[in-house]
Amino acid sequence: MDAAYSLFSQRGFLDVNTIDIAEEAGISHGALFLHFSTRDDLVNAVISKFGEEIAKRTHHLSESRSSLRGILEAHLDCIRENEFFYSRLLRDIHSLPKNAGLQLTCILSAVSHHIFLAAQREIENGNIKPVASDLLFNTWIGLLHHYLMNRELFVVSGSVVERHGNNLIDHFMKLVTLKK
Amino acid sequence: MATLCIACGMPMEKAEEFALGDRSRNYCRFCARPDGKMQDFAEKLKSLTAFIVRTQGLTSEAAQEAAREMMSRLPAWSGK
Repeated sequence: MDAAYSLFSQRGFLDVNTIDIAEEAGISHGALFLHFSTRDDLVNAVISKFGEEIAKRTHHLSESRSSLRGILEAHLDCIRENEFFYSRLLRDIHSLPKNAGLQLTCILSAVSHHIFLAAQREIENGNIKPVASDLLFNTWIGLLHHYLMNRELFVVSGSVVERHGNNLIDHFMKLVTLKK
Repeated sequence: MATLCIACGMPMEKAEEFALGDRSRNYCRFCARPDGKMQDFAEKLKSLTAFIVRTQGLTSEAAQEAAREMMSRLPAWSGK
């Protein structure tokens, strides 16, 4: 799965075949199918492992950072660690098996949940505008995904999150913060 | 180290995240009924669907499809 993750991150999901993955993993093509009966199974397993990781990391980081800004920073930390894989996933999602997209939906709900828990505390304190949890999250994720999916427009090379992450958080916070 | 709830996949670290605050349970407080027993498949599908609708604003049909997919990968519901 590590070999598949690495190749999907570098080349996307559509340009990597099972021969490439077996080669990268240093195993025979046949041996790959001892673990996964089809390529789709492997793709789903890699996405599932990624989702589990994101859920654990976001959950863990949200324990230590309780402000909305803090949880957005935690979210970007998680994305940065998997940025190339995640960007490829977003771009290729509609060409992947349907359950890959469904898995992504579940991953996003877990992230949204943590973001809204932090936002809710600040809404109650009068720091943040009262916004429905779905719209709050969709505003954030729409902005972030635009940068990730069109990364060539925003960085020559390297990390979009590194280059633009703080600006995106600043901008989003301005949108949702109540003026006093 | 977090363990994952067998019924929804939520990481559980603190005692209060486990059903009835009991670390020996393998499911979380959100997957427990008031008496501490784990919700059944239909209850969990309904609550998970509502969770996805609430967090992303999807149609209930799209949310339920995602919830089913998620549940199919969790130990509590494998084969259902």
